[in-house]
Amino acid sequence: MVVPRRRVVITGLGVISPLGIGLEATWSALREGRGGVGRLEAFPIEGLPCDAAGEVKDFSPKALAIDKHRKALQKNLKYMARDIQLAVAASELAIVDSGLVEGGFDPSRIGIDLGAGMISTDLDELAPAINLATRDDGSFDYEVYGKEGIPEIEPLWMLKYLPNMLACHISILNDCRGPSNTITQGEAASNAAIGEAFRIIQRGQADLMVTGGADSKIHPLSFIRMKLNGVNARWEGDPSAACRPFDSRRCGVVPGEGAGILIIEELGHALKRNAKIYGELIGFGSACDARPRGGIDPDGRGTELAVLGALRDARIDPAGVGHVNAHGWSTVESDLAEARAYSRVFGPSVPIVGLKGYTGNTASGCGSIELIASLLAARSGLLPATLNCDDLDPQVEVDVVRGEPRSSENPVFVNLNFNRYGQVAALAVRGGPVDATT
Amino acid sequence: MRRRVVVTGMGMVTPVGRDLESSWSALLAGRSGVAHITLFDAHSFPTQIAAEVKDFDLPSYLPRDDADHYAEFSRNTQFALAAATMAFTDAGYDGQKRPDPGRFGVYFGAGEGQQDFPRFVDCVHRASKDTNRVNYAEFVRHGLERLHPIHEAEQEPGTASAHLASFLDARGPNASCLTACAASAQAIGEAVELIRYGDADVMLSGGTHSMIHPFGVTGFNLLTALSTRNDDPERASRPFDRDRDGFIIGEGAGMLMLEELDHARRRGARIYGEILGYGSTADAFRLTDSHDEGRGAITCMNEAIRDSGIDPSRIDYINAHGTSTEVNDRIETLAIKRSLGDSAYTVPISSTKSMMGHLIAATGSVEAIVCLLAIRDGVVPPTVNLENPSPDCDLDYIPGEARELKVDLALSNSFGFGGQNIALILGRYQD
Repeated sequence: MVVPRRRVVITGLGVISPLGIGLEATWSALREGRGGVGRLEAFPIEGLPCDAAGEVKDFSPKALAIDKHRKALQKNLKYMARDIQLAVAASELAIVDSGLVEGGFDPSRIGIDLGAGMISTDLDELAPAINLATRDDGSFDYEVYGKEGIPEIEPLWMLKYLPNMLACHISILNDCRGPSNTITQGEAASNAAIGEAFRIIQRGQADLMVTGGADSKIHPLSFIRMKLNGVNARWEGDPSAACRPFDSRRCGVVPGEGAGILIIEELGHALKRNAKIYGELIGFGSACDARPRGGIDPDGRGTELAVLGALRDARIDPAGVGHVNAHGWSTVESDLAEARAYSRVFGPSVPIVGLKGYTGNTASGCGSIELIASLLAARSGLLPATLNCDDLDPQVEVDVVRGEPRSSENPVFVNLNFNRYGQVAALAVRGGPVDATT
Repeated sequence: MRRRVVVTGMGMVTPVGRDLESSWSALLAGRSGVAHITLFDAHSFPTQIAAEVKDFDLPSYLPRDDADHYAEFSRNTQFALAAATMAFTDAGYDGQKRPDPGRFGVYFGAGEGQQDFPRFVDCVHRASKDTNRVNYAEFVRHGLERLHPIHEAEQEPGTASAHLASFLDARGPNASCLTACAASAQAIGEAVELIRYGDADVMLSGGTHSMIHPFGVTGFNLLTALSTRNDDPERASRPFDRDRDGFIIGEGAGMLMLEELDHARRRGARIYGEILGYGSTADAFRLTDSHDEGRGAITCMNEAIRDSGIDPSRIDYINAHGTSTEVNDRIETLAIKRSLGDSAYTVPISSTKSMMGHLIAATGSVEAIVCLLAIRDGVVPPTVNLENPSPDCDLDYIPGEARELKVDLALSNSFGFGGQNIALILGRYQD
């Protein structure tokens, strides 16, 4: 006996990215092919491996707060690293967009599931304690650090950097007492979180979930780590062209920052309150490349498994997919691996878009930001062009949308992201209005 | 009928033992793993004690070339490799006989890897010594020269689940979560859901974490969450006791092989028990305190009980979160009473944190394993150091010594900093 599954629809969106704040700014930039990557402004310094970055400009979390949250938010901002501020502000936008500002839901039936990354500490908060404890010869004096250094650090220092604090702040502001989880898997994190939130509603553990993710890689430690691990872009020209998914001259990852938050909801719950519906989550699959010594599989076998899992879950064929929103990380190996997987699953005919040329790598936020972009695309019937893919890599044997946006009738899409360890999460989504009778 | 999920293999590395059986017998003997910190010089820190995994030696768990490959990887990853290898072998798998890779996944609860403290403070100092403000250009210059690629990458909390997928060829669903002290119990709950749903037949799940490093102790000391009973380490973790003064950081990993029942039966696997119920809630109250009437804790226990379909009066044993902080032990006691009613006063409860300390993200997994071993052996571990129960802690906490007890159903609680609550119901396998 097949038990009908509870259906899950998307009823609120909040996005903050290098393209701007909110849905309008995001969509107009995508439609017009205007990217948000430029020369790093947050800490313009000499000696960076590459100074292209996707930064969120003119960001004021207070200005985006819901009136009744403003006081609490103001008080807590000092305990929020930038990743947390981005997530909280985007969740305020999503709550407003979903029409849930005045509540109207049972607090025990709304949960939260977010993707988040390791948050780098503000170096200046630790410098006085470290300097006190460093001897003239450069050696470190643990005794002085323990006695005199520790008291120099802000008492709630650690709270500011815990990855689960994105979800905690949002659940406190909005009284979300249902399930709460935080997935920490780099670029696969927010898709994995959305997939899990989808399942939580399907199985009846909640009726509403706040989901998505946020991250900021605009930190000197992130730049250092990317270089040490050999993934940073080596681009030397105009920084806006540094991130080039599937292009022949692609040369690595450009750090970015941003947040994408979705409100997802059981279909009947949404219909009862006449909620605006952006689309329906129809499938989820996750997998891992699992190469013996780690890293991304050159044939994209984890990507293939995740896509097939999401399609099977959605009960659709590859031919039923209108477009794929690819990870498009812009490294030589990963884009090729991904294209090989799509080529095996979809053949040459399904349109592929990669949006990191617009935003850089928003890491734990990228899955949800890109999913929101695809929902806006499905709503307009227009697929944004893959920015900076001027000269398609001839080894990429799939149909990459580039140059101009392309019209598309089919609102079904797959959104996929993975990280450098080959952990992959894929979602199948049907954009646009929902037929409640099927 | 929904797919049932059983446990067919277990492994752990803890402050009281190098493996599953040695950890278990130490817990039954009431042995404490708490001592002065040796991993770094903590003698002037407010807290100078912790429950360390002693003499951890990766090559004693893995083939030589694998151990060499992972030599520079984080303590989190190394503990996970050791405990997962144990669980995988314990489940009857080996190099030849292994689960179908596409139906075998990984879901961990893991904390962040530790900062590479000596190199990091050196870079900060070099870039800020004149002004106490970090010059970013200098910091980047020194960082690129001095920081270690693997040590930096390994601070990402999600890496262990990827490394284990690679190590054991698990290409199915893969995730890693971090909800502070609830993480690995949550990972087990979500891994169970993936098997129930049909995404996988076998999941390696559990947790791994070490926060016994200078910034870990700094962070918890600043929050005044740790015991400072530095002169009496073995008696410092004293859940439910009147004189408790905070928790003790532990470290280690607990790993479970979760398997769909028919899959396990078909291959004749030994079954430790069944994961019957999973509850997950948020307090939505404050960043640093649990709700003062245990709101989230109560509903998560109730959810787990409802999910398992059992009558709460049939629960034979509770492995408490029992951190030895003033607030947790008081609120948890209250929540157990509210959730279980009268049977709260008769069900034996213990906190193994009294011996192992608090393994943070890994704590829920080792405590779930404790419940399954109690079911297997008919004996439950004690809460040591419980000499004078706090007036508001008036339940049966199995003080001092292990107790023989037939356990068919156990409840394990894990409550995370920030208000995430997880409860698991584990049961004896019955056809």
